[in-house]
Amino acid sequence: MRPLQRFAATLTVPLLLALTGCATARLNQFNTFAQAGITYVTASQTVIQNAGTAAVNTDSALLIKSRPDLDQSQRTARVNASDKLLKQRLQVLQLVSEHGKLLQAYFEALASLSDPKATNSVGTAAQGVYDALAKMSPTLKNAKMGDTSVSSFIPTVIAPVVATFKVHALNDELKARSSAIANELALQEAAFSAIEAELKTDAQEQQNFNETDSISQYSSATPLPADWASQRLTLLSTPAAVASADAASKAAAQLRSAFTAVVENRLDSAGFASLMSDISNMLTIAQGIQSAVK
Amino acid sequence: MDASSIYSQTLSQLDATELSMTSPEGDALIQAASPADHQKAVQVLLDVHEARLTLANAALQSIADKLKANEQAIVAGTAAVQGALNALNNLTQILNTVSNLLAIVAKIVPMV
Repeated sequence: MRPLQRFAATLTVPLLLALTGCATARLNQFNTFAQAGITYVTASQTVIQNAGTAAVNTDSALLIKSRPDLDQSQRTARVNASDKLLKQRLQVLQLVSEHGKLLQAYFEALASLSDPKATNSVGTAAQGVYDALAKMSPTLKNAKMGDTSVSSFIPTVIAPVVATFKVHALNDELKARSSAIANELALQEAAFSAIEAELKTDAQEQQNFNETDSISQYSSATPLPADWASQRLTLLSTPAAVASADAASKAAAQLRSAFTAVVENRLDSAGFASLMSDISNMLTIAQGIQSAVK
Repeated sequence: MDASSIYSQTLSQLDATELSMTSPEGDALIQAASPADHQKAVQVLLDVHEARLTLANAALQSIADKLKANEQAIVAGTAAVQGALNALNNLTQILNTVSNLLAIVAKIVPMV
């Protein structure tokens, strides 16, 4: 090998490694965003489920409470009106839930393509082709680039090519869909803001009914139930979870801000940690509310 | 003020009214009222509840319609990303096939 070729070869490996590093950092940003998106959609499904349960249960509790004050025709009219409205509510929540599943499929596709840790199957396959050819060609078997054998060089060459291909595909996707995704995340925020406002009211109203029952039990002349004190403790400590029912819209807002950071190539580990903390908080609160609205 | 702000403010007001009427304090007032006022309060509470359900449904339906309108873009995005992933998988498959074929050729060549 001529000196110039040798020099070029010794430069090529670090350059390829540097390129791989840049592409991997960008892939990491996409992957981080996609993973957060998947977790967000999963957690938001629990919020939707809670909202439907809370709406029906609160309506039932109100109808039961007011039943003694209504005559037969009023009862029929009220329960029919509520049934109709609650069917609409559950249908619209179902639409939002189904839409969330489409969004999840999008995030999963992004995560698959951007996974920097995934086995580099193209590199392995290329190595296989080289090995098969090398068995037929002693020249190829012994070929070197600089001090490195061509055989061991193959994965190093293929890795940045594949990473660059992935980054290129993901950047193209970002360019084509950035306004649609930004719009989508803004709509998610609006949807969860509305869903959570009603969930919060429903959960608080059930809390009101339970508190009123607890007060009536204490005021009445009949003996208190054995678990009155422990029930009271549960009742009085629940409002904290109810007051935090806006976690999903906050997480959607954080996801939107992370998306802007991905577009601008500046999503860092601190931003990701904050986003994941919001989403994890959303899941914890959603699970806490689940027991309050049953 | 735009239509969505009016919706949202009215809904917040209805939420607050219903919560106030069902609170232990509100309930005590309703229970202590004269039979006529008690009847009236229960009807008002149920009317407020119905209005709240109706208005929240309308607000949610309006957002769901916009989400639905955005679905095509999400589906197209998923297909585009999946297409890139498939292209990589196809390339891997082609290279594996070539590799297998060459391995067979390598066994045959020395016999010729």
